[in-house]
Amino acid sequence: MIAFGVPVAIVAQAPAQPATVPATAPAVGPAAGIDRELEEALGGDAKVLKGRVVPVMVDPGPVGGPPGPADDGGVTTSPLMPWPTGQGGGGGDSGNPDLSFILDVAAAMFDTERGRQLGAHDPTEAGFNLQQLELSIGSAVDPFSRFDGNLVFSPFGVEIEEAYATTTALGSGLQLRAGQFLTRFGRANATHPHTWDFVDQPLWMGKFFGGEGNRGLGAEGSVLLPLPWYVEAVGSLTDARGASTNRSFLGTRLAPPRTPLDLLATGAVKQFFPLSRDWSLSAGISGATGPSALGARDRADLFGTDLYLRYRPLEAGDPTVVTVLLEGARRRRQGPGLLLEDTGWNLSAVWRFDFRWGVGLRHEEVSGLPGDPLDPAWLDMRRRTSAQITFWPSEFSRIRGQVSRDEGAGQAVGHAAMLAIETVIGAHGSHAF
Amino acid sequence: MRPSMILFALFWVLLSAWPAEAARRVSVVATVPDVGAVVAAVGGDDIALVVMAEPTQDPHFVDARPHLALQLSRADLLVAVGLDLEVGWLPRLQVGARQPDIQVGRLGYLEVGPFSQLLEIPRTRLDRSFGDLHASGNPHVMLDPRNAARIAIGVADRLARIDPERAQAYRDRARRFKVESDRVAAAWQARSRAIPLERRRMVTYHRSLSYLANWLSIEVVDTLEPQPGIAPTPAHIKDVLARIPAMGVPLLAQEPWYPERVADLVARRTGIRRVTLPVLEDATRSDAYMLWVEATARMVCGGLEL
Repeated sequence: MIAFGVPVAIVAQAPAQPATVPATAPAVGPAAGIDRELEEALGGDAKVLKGRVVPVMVDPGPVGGPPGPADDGGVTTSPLMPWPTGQGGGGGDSGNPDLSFILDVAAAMFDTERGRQLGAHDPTEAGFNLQQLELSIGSAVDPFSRFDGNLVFSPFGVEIEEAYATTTALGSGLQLRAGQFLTRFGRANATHPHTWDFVDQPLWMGKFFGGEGNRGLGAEGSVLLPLPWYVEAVGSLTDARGASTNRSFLGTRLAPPRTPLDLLATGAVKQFFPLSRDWSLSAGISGATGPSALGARDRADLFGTDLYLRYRPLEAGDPTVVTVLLEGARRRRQGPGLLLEDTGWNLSAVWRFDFRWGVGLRHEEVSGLPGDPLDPAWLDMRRRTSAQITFWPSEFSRIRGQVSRDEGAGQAVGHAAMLAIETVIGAHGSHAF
Repeated sequence: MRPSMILFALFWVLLSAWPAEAARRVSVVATVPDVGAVVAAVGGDDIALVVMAEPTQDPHFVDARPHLALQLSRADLLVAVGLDLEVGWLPRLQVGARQPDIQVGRLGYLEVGPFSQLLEIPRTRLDRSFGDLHASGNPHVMLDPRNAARIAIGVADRLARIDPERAQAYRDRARRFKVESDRVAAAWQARSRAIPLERRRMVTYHRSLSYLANWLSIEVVDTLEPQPGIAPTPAHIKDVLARIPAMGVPLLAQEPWYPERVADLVARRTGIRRVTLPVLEDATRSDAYMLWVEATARMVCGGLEL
C-alpha cells in the first residue's frame, strides 16, 4: 500500500454543501469552531473557502469496508481521498494535457477555374489540398478552471484558432470563458471541421463571418437556467476585427476599439428537448451586434436560428443515426445612406445507416445585394446543393466523397467533387451534442 | 380565519415542508446501468438515483445529450466507471453541467473501475494499431460480482463522506451486498467448473466479457471484432469461422448493443450456440444488479453445458 508522507490540503468544490444534502459538519470534535480560526488565519479567503476545505492526510489502508486486504484487489478507497489508490496498473498520468492531432486532406475537382467554397479550410484548389492539421489541447488548469486550445497548421503558417480558459467551479449554473474562442452564434459556428458532416463550411457562415467562422479575443458568460428543461443562455464580448472572422463587422480595420461599442456582442439561448429515448431536438436563437466597417458609428446586426433534430434508436445493435439541421441567419448592416439586409440558410439531412457507412444531403441559399461593398458581384440568390457519402474505418478516421452543384451570385453553374480523408490521433476530448 | 389567510398559511407550510423532503435524499447520477444498479443497492431509499445511459446502449458511444448535463447540474455525486470508458461523452457533460461538486477531483466524482481487480492492463507500448485499447485496463469490470462487491464498498465510503448521517446505513447495505455477491460468485463458479474444461470456451463480440470469463473460468477464444472498437471485417470473420470448429467452441455471447447480423451468420455457418446477454432493466432497483448478473451467468453456463 502506498503511504503519502506529506499532508496535503485539498480545496474541494466552490459552493457550500448543496441544499439537498444534509449538513455534514458536526458541532463537536476537532472541527468545532474551525470557521473562526480559518477566518483569522486566512482572512478574506476563509469566506470563500468556508465549509469546503477537506484535509487529506496519510491513509495507508482500507477504511470502513468489511473486506480485508486480501480481497481488495490492491485498490481501496479512503473516506479522506476522493480517488481510489493502490498498487500497480491504472493512473500513470504525468499531468500532461490531452493532445491530439487531426489531419484533413482532400483531393478536389472543379469545372470552374477554382473552387468556390468560402471556408478557409475548404478544398478550393483542383488536385490535392491540405485543409488543416489541427492540434487540439485540453486539460484542467486547477480545481477551478480548465484550458482548451486548437492550433491550426496550414501551408501559410500556424494559427491560434482557439485558446481559452473555462471556469468549472463557479456554481449556481454559471460559467465564464476568456481567451480566443469561436462565438456560440448558432450551432455550426462553435464547431471545428472535424465535427462537420460535410467537407466544406456552410456558405452563409463564410459570407457573414468569414472563412474561419466568427471568433475573437474576448470573454463569455453563460448560465444553465434553473428550469425543468435544458435552457442555456450565453453572452459574449469579443474583438470585432478580422477579415476572415468578422467581415460583417470591422473586418480588416486595424484600429483598436475605443469604446465597448467597438466590440462584438453575441447572445444566444439554447434549448434542448429529449423528445423520447430515441429522438432529440435542440433549438437555438442567436443575435450578434457590432460596429460596421461601412461607416463611423454604423452597426451590423445578425439574427440567427438553428433547429437540430436527431434520431438515434437505442434498440439493440441498431447503428442508425438520422439528423436534420436547419440553420440560418439574417444580416442587417447600416452604412452611409444605405441599409443592407440579406439572408442565408442551410438545410441538411444525414443518415448513418451502418456502423461504417453514412450519407448526407445539404441545400443552401444565400441572398445577394446590389451595392454591397463586401461582395459587389454577389447580386442575386446563390444556391448550392451537396451530397456526401462517408466511410468510417474506425471512430478515429473517416473518408468522405462529396459532390456539389453551385449556381447564382452572378456566376455560371459550377460543380465540385471532393474526396476527403480525416484522421485523428491522440487523446481527443468529447464533443458537444 | 379568512380563506386567503388559510391559503397563505398552507402555502408556507408546503414551502417549508418541501426542502425538508428533498433534504432526505442524496442526488446521485450513475453513468451506466450496471454501475447504477450497484449504487442503488448501496444507497437504497436514501438516495435519488438517475442513470445516464440506456441499458441497450453501448457505453462507449452515448450521445452527450444536453439534458444529461442538466441532470448532472443537480447531482451531489457522479459515479462513473472511469478507465476511459466514458471518455467520449462524459467530460463535456461534466463541464457543461456547471456543478463544481461533481468535477474530476472533487468529492462528488467517483470512478469505480479502479476498485476492481483489473485485467488486461497493457504491459507494452500502446498505440491505436491495437484498436481502441484502454491504457488503464479493460473497463468492462461489472460482469464479475466480486468486482461489484469492491465497488459497493467504495461507493458506500463515498456516500458516507457526502452524507455522514446515514454512513452506517450505506456501509450496512454494502456489507449485505458483498455477502450476497460472494454467494452468487461462488455458486456460479461451482456450476461453471462442473462443465468440462474443453467446453468452457466462448467467442464474444467485443473484449468486454473478460471479467465474466475470469470469474467463471472460461476461455475467450476470439472476438468478432478483429481488434477492440474495429467493426468485424470479412477476413477476420473467416478466421473466426475456422477457429470455432477447430477449438470446439460451444458459445458465442454478446451484449445487447452489438449488431446481431454477423453473429447470426457465424452461428448459421458453425452451429455455435449464440446468446445475447440480458439487458439490465430498471437499474434504480436495489436488487437489479444481482438479478442481472445471475441471469447472465445462467445464460452463459446454460450455453456451455451439453
